[in-house]
Amino acid sequence: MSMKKIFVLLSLIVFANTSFALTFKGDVKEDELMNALRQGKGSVNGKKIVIKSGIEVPPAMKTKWMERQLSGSDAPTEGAASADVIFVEAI
Amino acid sequence: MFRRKVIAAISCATLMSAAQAQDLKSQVYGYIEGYVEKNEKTPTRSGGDASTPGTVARETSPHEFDTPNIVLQVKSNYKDKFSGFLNLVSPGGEEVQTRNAWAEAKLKGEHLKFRMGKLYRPFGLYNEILDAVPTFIGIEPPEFLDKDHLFVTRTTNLMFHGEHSVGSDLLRYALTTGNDEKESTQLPVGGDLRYTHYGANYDITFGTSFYFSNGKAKPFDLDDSKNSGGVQKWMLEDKYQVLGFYSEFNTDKWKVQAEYFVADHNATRNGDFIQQNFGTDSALNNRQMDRICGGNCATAGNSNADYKIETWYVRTGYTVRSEYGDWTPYAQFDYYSNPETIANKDLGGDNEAGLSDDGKFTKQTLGLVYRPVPVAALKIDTSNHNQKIDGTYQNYLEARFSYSYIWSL
Repeated sequence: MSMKKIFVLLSLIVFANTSFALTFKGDVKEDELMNALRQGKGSVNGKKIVIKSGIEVPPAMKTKWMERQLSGSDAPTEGAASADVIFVEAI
Repeated sequence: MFRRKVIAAISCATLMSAAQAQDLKSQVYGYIEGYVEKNEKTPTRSGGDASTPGTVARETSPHEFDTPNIVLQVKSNYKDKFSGFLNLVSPGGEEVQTRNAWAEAKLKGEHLKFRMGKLYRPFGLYNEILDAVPTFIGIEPPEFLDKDHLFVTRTTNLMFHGEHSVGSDLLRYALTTGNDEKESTQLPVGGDLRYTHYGANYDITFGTSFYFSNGKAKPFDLDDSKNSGGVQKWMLEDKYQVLGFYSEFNTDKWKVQAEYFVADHNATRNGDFIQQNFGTDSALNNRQMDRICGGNCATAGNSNADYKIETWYVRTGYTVRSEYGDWTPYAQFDYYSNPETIANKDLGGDNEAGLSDDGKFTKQTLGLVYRPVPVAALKIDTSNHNQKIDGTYQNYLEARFSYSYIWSL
């Protein structure tokens, strides 16, 4: 197998496609919200990020949120929709 | 008329307190983490006296259960402006200690925040998240965060910090100060700067942490088992600086981490302490006897100790996702070098670097994390310690099994 093929194969393994589809309610741009979720932030543009209970969250993202929560930082939390939050219904 | 005013006042107070309660949100959560550990026969140095080095023998280490983390945490936010965090732990269920208790105010949104109390300093990849043990790969912390060989105190008292988005990337910065190990009026300063680039399917972080004792620092008392820092117990005073660099790369499946830290100490040894404590059963080796005691601990005086401590590690893990949960095999290599430390842990030493001829050891770890659900983790790993003891390289193995579970109200 040539070096080029090995490189392509390794790249496919490392950068396997994990793109997310985001469904949410709230006044925020989708890419801004996605950045905040990946960074594990608890709020975006001053509004708390609330996750619909029971939805499936990508494991790496969930681990990052728990890591932030256990070290005292804000992270997205599960809850109900309201007017003053960004409510995420699906990731 | 009076009755109407009272009713109006009570109604008003009730409404105000209801509004305040709506603004004040608190979360209560925590985790338990425990392990069982078994060491191969461990080399241990004992005996010796003021001018004779101790001898090394292999001692049987019985398997040991412990529950070091029984943790209760409370996070409170008032609107998006103020917050507080309480982190209580009962190691082994014996007594309750306060690991963190701080209040924070946002001075300029996320860009500038002010935190005060007892807080973990941002210092490398792990110092702030070491209490999030269920979430990371590995059972033991990187060697430089082991209590026996800390580079600085894990906690401090005041921090200005913030973050700034650069497109989809994130820049984080922090400056800290506190009591730390300052001798008197010194103002120790710590800092951290890190940049994370978020790519389509990955993120990569580069960062640096630093610390200046900014004048004389002194060791914690010998009987103070709760506090530990960068100054050795047998020092009268120490002026030191620490600098480190670190990086982390993540995809959905891969995690690769590397850190390097160096501490530069300019200290004065305490002759009285050495005479009192190193006279019998000092468990020193030849080099330590010459270096610390000048050949005879009974007559040791104050002396200069200029030395550097270095450490680095590389850690990597790969996650395989299945319908039964996530499996993450991982590997780690640690290097640690401290020419000044000794083996006797009761005197503030370290039974790894302090045991070796040259103050150096390496550790190789292989392990596996299994997460059946995100809030539970089972970990198993084994480490091999490698040191040069009395002229020959020696190894010993440790095996650990750990469990952890995160709960919340």
